[in-house]
Amino acid sequence: MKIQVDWERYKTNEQQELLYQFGKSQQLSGIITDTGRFIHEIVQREQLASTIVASNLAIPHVRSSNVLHFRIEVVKLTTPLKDWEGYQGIDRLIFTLVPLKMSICDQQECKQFFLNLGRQEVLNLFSHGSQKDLKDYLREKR
Amino acid sequence: MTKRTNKEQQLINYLLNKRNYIPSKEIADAIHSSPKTVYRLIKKINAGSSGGKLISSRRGIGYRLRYTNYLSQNMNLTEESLGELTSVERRYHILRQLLVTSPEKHKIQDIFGSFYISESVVSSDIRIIRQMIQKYHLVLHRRSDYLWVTGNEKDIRTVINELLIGDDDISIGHFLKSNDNIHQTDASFITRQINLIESQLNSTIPYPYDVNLFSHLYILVERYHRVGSLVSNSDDTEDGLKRAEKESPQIIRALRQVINNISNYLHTEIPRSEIFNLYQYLNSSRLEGKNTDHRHEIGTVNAKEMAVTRVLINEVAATHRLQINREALYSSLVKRMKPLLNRLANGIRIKNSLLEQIKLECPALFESVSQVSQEFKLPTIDEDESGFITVYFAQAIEQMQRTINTVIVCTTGLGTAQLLKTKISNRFPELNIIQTTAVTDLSETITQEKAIQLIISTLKLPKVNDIPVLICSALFSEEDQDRLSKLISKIKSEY
Repeated sequence: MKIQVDWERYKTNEQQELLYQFGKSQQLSGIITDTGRFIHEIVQREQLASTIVASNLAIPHVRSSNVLHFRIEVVKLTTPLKDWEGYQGIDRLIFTLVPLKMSICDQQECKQFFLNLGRQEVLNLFSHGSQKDLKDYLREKR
Repeated sequence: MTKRTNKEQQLINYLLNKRNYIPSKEIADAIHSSPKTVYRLIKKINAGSSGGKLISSRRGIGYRLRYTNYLSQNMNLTEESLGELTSVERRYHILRQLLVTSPEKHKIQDIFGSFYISESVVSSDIRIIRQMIQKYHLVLHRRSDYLWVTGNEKDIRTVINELLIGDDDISIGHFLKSNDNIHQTDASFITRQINLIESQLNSTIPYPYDVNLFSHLYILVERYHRVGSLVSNSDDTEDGLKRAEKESPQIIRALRQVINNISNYLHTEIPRSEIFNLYQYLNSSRLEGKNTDHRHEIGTVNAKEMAVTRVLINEVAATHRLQINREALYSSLVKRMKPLLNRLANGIRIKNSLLEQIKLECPALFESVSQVSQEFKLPTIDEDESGFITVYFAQAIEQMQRTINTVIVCTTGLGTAQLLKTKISNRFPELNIIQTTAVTDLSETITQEKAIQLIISTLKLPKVNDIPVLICSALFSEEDQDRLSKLISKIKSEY
C-alpha cells in the first residue's frame, strides 16, 4: 500500500530536522534519490503557497524527478513543530511524493485520497484521530 | 361591487380595449392623470371588487384587466347595467349568446334591445362581430330581422373557449365561484368527471391541461343544454375511436364512462364521436403519475416527434449560438412534443398565462420557434405554444449559465487540487469542475478544454488568456470563499 502512517516516529519539533529525518528515511527506502534536493523542493513548494489545511495539519508535497515512487506518508509528531513556514502548531503532516511518471492506479489512489480528505469528517480524522482510527480508515479504503 | 367614479370607469374602459399589460404612464396619459393616481385608482378598484382582483399588475410591465373577473362581476347584468357596457363588452356579450345557442336564430331586437343603441351602431356591431369570427370559419348571418351564427361545431366550441377562458390566472376553482346556480352545478359536475378520469388513469392532469379539458367539457354540456346534439358519428371518428380503443383501452374506458355520465346528466344521448373528441383533448395533454418519480404519458414518442424536437433544438441553438446541454433539453422537450403536435393537428388551443412575460423576457427565442412549423409543414405554432416551448429553452440556457466551467490547479494536480475540488464542490455547486491539473500541464489543459471560465490555483500563475484566476490557500479559508463568491458573481454578470 502506498499510504503509510508514521506515528510519533520523528522526535523533533524543528522543521528542518524533521524534513532531514523524513527525507533520509525515504532515500533509504528508495522512494527518493536525494535528501538535500527533497528538502529544497519541499520548502520551495511551501514558500510558493502554504499547504496547511487545518489548524494542526499540513500536506507538503513534491513532484519531481527526485521522486522514484509514489508515496503518501501520514506523520504524527510527538510535539508540534515550533515553526512550519511561519506557522505554529503543526503536529501532523501528510507528505505526498509524486514521481514525474505515475501509473493510472497510483494516480487514482492519490486523487481519491485527497478527494476524501476534502470532506470535513475525514479532515477531522487526520487532524485529531487516533493511530488506530487512521489505520482502520486506510485499511477500509484499500 | 362598489359604485365607481368617472376616473375609475375611464381607466377600466381604457384597459377593456387592450389585450396586453399596459404601462402606468400610458394609462395615465390616456385618462389625463399621473402614474401615482393610476396606482391609487387601481388599488381602489381592486379593493372594491368582489370575487377577486379586477386589474392585475406585473412589476416593470404594467397593468391588465382580468376580463373573466370583470365579466363574472357583471354576470347578473340588469337592464340598467347592460346599458353601461362599453362597445367591446357589448359585442362579447352578444357573441357569446349567439355562439352558445348556434345555430338558433335570434331576433335582432331581442339581442340588441337592452343596449339602447342606434341602428347604425347595431350595424357596426354586426359588421365587427362578423369580422371577429371570420378567422374561425364561422359565419354571422343577418336576414330580415334575424341574426344567427353557423359553423362547424368544433370551431364554435373553440371560439366559446377563447371567450370563456381569460388570459389571467385561471383555475378550475374559478368556475366554481360563478354566480349563476345552474352553471355552478354544471361546473361541479364536470370537476367530478375530471377527477374520475384522473382516478381511473391513476394520474393527474396538470395546469394548463386541466383547464383546457374542463372548458371543453363545460362547453359541451352548455351546448347540449341549449341546442342538443350537433355532432354525428362519422366514419373518420369511428375509425379514430377504434384505433384509440386498441392503443389506449384504459383511457377509452374512462372516457366512455365520462360521456355516459354526461348523457345521464343531460338526459340525452351523446354521440360516440364525443368520446373520440375527448380522447383527442386528453391526447393533447400531459398526464403525470401519482408517484412523483414516475411520469405517465399517453403513448410513446414516435419518429416524427423525435425529429421535430431535434430540428427545433438544433435550429434555435444554431440561430442564437446557444451553449446548452442539448441532450438534457431533448429529454425534457420531446415528451411535450407529442401532446403539442396532437393539439396542432386537432386545432386545440391551450392558453399560456405567462405569454406576455415570456415575450418580454425572451423575444428572440420566441421568434425562432416558428421555423420548425415551416420545415415540417405543420400548422403554424401559435403564440401560446411558442411560449411554452420558449420556456424550455430559457431554462436550458439558465442551467448552463448557472454552471461555470472551472479548472483547479496545484503542483501535482493530484493532491491539493483534489482536496479543494471536494471543498469547492460542496460550497459552490454552481462551479462545474471540469479538470484538476498540475501547473506544468495547465497550458495543455487550456488548449484542450475550450470552455474554461475560471481557474482556481494554489500557486501564482502567469496570465492565462482572459480566463479569470483565483489564488487560494489549501485551507480554503473564509476569506478565500468570500473572494471566490465575488468572482463568481462577476463572471455571471458578464455572461
